[in-house]
Amino acid sequence: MTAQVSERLIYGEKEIPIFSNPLATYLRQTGIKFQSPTTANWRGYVGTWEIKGNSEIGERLYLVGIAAHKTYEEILELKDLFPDSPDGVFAHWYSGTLRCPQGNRVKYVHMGYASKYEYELFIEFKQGVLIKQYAKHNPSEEPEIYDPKDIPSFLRKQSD
Amino acid sequence: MIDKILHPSDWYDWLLVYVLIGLLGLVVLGINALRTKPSSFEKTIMSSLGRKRTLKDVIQDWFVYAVAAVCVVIGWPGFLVWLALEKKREAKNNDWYALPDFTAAPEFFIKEVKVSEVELENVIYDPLGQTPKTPFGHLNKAWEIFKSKKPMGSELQLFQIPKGSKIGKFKTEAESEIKGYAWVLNEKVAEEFISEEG
Repeated sequence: MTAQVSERLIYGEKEIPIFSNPLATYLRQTGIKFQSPTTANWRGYVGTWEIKGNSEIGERLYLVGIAAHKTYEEILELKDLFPDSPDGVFAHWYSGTLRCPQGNRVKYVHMGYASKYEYELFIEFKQGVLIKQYAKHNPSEEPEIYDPKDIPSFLRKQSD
Repeated sequence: MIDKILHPSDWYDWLLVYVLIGLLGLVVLGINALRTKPSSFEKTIMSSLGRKRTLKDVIQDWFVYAVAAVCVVIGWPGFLVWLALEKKREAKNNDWYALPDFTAAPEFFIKEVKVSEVELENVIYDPLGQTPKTPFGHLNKAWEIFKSKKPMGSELQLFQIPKGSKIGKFKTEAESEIKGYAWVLNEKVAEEFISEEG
């Protein structure tokens, strides 16, 4: 499986990637499916999320934008999917942890969200309400050294 | 000869019939093998990967074919038994795949609940006022569909699945805690609605 395009989170002044799909439960429950435009986007959409609110009323996760492929050419926006919530959709169904990669990539894995980054920010939610957040440092890994003998002959560079 | 086959009288005739059936099976298998023969494209790819067939491979293949042919001619009833068992196993597999794949299971049931109390408890509070003031907010339509699918005589169970539990037909690991409701009939999940998941 190809590495997948990430969801986006507006975090402070920046937009950072999310290696989690908070919309998946909603789509599964409502039976909505999108068409995959490329092998790097099997789910067929990219959502933009934002944490709104404050410590008094609680900070909540909202879907504030989406580009969803109804067909390869036709792309749906938030107002098409949620006409009654044009300013954001509260993800009250989401009880889980958003994993946000930060910094340099320390290991590329050609599968889903399996690549590892220097730092990872974890943001935990219960019914869409932020509970806690913490970060983790991933030390750089030694690059893998391949023995040329392990590479099949047809993949080796031909020497004159 | 044909008369002997159609009306076998002694053991020699019966042996002839037995062997002929085996030969017939061999012909069927031979035709099938020819149909699944590698194409010239596949042969080219194998050759470019350095896997060109040698004389040893050809002799080895013919030896295997010869042993298989003798086995079929002599032991075709065994082959028929194997075929019947294989078909049965395939049918059982197909039945299993046709079963609905529910996340909920009896070991995760918390308690029996009433629709009215569930609906009262699950009106979503959204300070920005962007969520419909209906049970389960944006998931209300899915909840209504779930309610309409209530099987006669079933009960509503609240279920909660801890993170890391094995779920569904394929026993995959739950990546987060999962909460929802299920219509349960005769201790089996008939329909489910997931209200919370990571």
